[in-house]
Amino acid sequence: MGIPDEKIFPHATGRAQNLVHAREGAADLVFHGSWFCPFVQRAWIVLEEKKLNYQWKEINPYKKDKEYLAINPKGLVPALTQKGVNVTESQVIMEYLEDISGPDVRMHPADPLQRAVARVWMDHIAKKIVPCFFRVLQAQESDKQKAAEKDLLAGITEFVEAMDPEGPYFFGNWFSMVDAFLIPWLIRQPAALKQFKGFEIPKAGSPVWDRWGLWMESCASRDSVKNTSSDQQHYLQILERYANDTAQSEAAKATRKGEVFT
Amino acid sequence: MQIACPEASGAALRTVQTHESTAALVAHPGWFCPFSQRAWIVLEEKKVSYQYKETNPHTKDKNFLAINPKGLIPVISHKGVNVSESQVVMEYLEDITGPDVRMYPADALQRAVARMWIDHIAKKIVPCFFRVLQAQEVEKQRAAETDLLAGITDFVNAMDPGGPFFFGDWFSMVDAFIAPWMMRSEYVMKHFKGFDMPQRGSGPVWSRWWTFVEAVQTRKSVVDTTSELEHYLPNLQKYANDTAQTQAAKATREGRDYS
Repeated sequence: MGIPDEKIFPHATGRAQNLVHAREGAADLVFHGSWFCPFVQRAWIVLEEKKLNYQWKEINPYKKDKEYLAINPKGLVPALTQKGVNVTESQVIMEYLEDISGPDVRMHPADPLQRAVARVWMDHIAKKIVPCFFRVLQAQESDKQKAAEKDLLAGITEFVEAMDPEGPYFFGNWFSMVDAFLIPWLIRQPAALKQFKGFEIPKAGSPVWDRWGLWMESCASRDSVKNTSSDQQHYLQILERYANDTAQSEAAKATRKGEVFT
Repeated sequence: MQIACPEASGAALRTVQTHESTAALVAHPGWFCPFSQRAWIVLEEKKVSYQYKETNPHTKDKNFLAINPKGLIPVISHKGVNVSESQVVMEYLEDITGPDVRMYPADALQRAVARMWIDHIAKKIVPCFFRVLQAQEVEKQRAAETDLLAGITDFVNAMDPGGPFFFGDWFSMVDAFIAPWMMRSEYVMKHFKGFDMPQRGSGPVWSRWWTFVEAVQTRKSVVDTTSELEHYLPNLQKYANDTAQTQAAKATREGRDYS
């Protein structure tokens, strides 16, 4: 007797489906992902940006498959296997991909101090933006939802105020790790937040929201982002379970307990 | 929150005194803060030139808030940029220093392994120390103890078996990341919560663990950034009563992990 989440739609759709087919062949670098997972998409975007050769293996993290548990005892996605070593945690994988690829496909600033700035803002995204998405979507009480909305807008505002003013990306005219770290949530969440919670993040109307709208649209139209995204209706189906707070992902459970999942 | 003692003591005080003069890189640690100590250990290991400025975020000092509006420590200031978050600071120090004082493996895949275990320490070990210390009900304490021992066991099972450090005979970022809690572990758990951690004889995991703890506690950079135990106790007492007002304490009280 499994949980309903196990019956999740089994594969990518849209452009992501094409990409998955293109990445079926064996490769030295194996990327274990789930088509629907935003944490997976972070690292997937980086693989694509860096034009690395990899094999995609679809994992259903709700099924706790023994073979996969040998790779990641926590059963979470994403995971990366290369030279017999398994790497887990989206940010660790992204830093690894940066380490093994050349300066021509750099996604961190060359300057160490600016690299530190990038990591500070990735930490901010992880602690002050992403958890708020889950909190708004899973809220079952109006006051909890309002509090989460307020925190989400505050977290985003702080992030926008740190961006290069011209943009369109965080650091200006080049797409970096910071952008890849957050954009997956903006592919999935806005439609769900509007449909299930009647909430929209502003996309224009003041300098902050204009800049936010520019960032979002530029990141969303990036090839690496489009090619790793599935059709909206499939995301909405999954996010509906978050909206009625029955989802059983680790992120959902953590949010229910009032914790931050990173 | 009053910190009973406003400055470092013992070996840490000597280190502070040798880093009083102006330097391009300014570190803003609190002598009592384990998160600060991580970064301080790395500064010492790498023999970086730095100025130490004692910082107590609880006083909400205006000059400090200008540097880090969130008022958290540690922060380092270098070339006009302020870097917060202990792990980000540690990565930065690795980036600006040479291979002779390397604290990450040279191999990219092993570096990923290091970062995974740093993530594990941040999520599965350190928060448990806070939860045990701040527990006010027996069942909560027992649950936290169980989680702490499980987190430590996984960590030990990933260690180089020869040791004494995580990667074997060299002291790395992984060791520095957990080091500040080592001094607190056996004594603090026992003294404040009557929690006896399993001893050496309990099995290979615990034999390896205490070898690790001993090696880390006696590492020069760790000794040189540790103050006298008695001065940590009043702060730790506040955690034990669950009245501490640090971000870490509040998070733990609210049932959230702090990293």
